Amino acid sequence: MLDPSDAARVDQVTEAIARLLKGQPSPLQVDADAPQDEIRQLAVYMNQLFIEFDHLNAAITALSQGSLTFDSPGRLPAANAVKNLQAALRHLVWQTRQVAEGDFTQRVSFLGDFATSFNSMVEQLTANREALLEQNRLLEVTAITDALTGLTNRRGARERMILELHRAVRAGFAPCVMMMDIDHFKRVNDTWGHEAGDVVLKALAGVLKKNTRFEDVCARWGGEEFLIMAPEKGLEFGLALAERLRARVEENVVEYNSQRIPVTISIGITTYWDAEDLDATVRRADGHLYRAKNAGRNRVCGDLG
Amino acid sequence: MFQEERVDFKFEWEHLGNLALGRPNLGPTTHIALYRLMQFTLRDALIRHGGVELANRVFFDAGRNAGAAIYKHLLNAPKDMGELVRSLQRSFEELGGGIIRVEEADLEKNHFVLTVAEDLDCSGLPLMDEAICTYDEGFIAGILEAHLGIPFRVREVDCWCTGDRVCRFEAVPRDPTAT
Repeated sequence: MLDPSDAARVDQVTEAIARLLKGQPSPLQVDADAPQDEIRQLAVYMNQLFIEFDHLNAAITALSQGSLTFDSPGRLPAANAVKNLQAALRHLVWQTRQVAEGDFTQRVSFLGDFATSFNSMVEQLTANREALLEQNRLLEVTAITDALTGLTNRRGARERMILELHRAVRAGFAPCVMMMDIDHFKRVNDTWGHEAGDVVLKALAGVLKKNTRFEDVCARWGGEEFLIMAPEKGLEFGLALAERLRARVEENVVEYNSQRIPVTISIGITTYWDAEDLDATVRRADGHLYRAKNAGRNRVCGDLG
Repeated sequence: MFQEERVDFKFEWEHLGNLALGRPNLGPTTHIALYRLMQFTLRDALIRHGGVELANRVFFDAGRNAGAAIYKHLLNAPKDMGELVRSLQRSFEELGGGIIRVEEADLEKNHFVLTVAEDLDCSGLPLMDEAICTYDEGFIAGILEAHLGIPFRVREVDCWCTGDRVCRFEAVPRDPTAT
């Protein structure tokens, strides 16, 4: 049997445990004059437990409220588990931020099922992003490509030409630009139909592509009009190229439904004059083209005649 | 090489030797206890002969040299911080050095907070209320300095030995004129 004073101290400890279990820990007053016995030691341990409980409670409360910056001095295994979770979540926050900034290589290797879900999400984001980029690339190509002939369209040609002309100005060079037009194209459509017209346009595009360089701008300007710009090549080269193209087109009789459609083109050629507007160059080439038409078609006219 | 006096550091990667040739039976790995035995007896002897400050300086400098050497020989010239972290994580896990994670990376201020879990030096040690991973501090400084080309001050703010479960390091640019 405990003596009454010891029994009272045990009661205090028992009540303290009961309060702790209810989530209302309150430290015991340890009397400095109390005997240095097991019951006093029990009270000391009890108070340490209260402190650890407080630390744990504070850490879990902070975590449950989304705070990851709490600093817990708790030493219990449960407190350590909370600290582990805190560190993992802090790293996860950084990883999520990295993903948001476009680093799709981030993967989580902790937190069990959450890791699997996070990684799946990032993989899906990566796949979606790549699909979108590919779609964008296709749209960009489509926006500057003529659907019928596969050549660059007027928009794409203008973009390329502006770049090339800036480069030419820097280099002090005057590149050649030629406009060409299919002779009597309306007659082709009227005689053989629009489908035959399309076949002629495609055939002409094929000849132009085959006889120009990769770096040349080779475009369908609109309707039956085509444009070629040869960067870093002047009028002399342009005239030779234009004459070759004219001859190749003439030689290349188009077949449509077992019928042979003779095709010729007229070409106007000029060079870019320093600091002039691109449209002015094109208009000048167009003027030479109409001179070629008026002079009987199937010929090349340019700045020099 | 190891018996010469010196005023500059002379460590080279080749000093690690040819492990395949030298340890055909035991291989390139060893027990962590053996590593810690050397680390802590060395620290003990350094403190005994030169004091705590000297021991810390020695461990920091050695770690910094190791970080610079690892950066040069194992991390494949990472082009940005993300690649550096991934490369370092991979290398460190392969070598069994610890699990490195980033908590903060302010690339404008060059302020970083990294954690190392299952740290080679301290995980599992008894509570001592003192952070002991001075070698890691130097190691992280060496890596960051090699990558960013500016000196760093690295401080271990949490350690297994202070009651945390990961070692947490804060790295900030160091005034190059400070000692």
